[in-house]
Amino acid sequence: MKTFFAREDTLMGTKFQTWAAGLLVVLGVLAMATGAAVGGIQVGAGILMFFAVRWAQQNPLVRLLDDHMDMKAAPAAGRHLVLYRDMAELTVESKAKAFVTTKRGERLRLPTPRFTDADRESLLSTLKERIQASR
Amino acid sequence: MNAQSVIGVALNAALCGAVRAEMPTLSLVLAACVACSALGLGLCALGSKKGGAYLIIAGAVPFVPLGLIAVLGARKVLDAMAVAEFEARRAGRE
Repeated sequence: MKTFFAREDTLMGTKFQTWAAGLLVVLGVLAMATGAAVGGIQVGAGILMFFAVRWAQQNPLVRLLDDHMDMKAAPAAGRHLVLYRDMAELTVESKAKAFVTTKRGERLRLPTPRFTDADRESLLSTLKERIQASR
Repeated sequence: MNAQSVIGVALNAALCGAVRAEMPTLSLVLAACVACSALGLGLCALGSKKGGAYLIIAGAVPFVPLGLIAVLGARKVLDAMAVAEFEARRAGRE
């Protein structure tokens, strides 16, 4: 089984998102201190962002198992389980855009911008190999 | 229906009640959203899990970030259904 976690560096990375969540909480607390009740929403959003980042650090976004791919890109995103033999093709449009098209016509976008270059290459090449092997 | 979505909808209802005195019009809109989520919970309990989960999500979105608790609960229901459907599809092919 191969697992692919979210990267830590860059704007898409978990470290920056942790800082952004902290900033949201601080700004929210400051807003509440000045009497703006809307700061509560910022604090709530910051706390939930912390949980989302923590989730991304602990759970792989994509898992390639023996006969299928298991993908869940975010806590509130849908879980996609697709057998390799049900995959029609893998389309790579750019570094940020890669899609798996299934034989039932579904087009799933892979969360490639959230991986390191090495992980992205590994995911795409492994997926390509397994799709071809299942034919 | 799971405990997380029930707690999430209850928290949304509590928030709706809390803003009632200060913003009565907004609380009416939020009450309609809570009713939508409550209908979703009812549908889940009656067995129509997919439609119910989507109704819970639709009713909880205006409450985000607090509404995410109910959204994540409903998402767990949908994910469990996706896993069951996948297992059935895999077993059917083998």
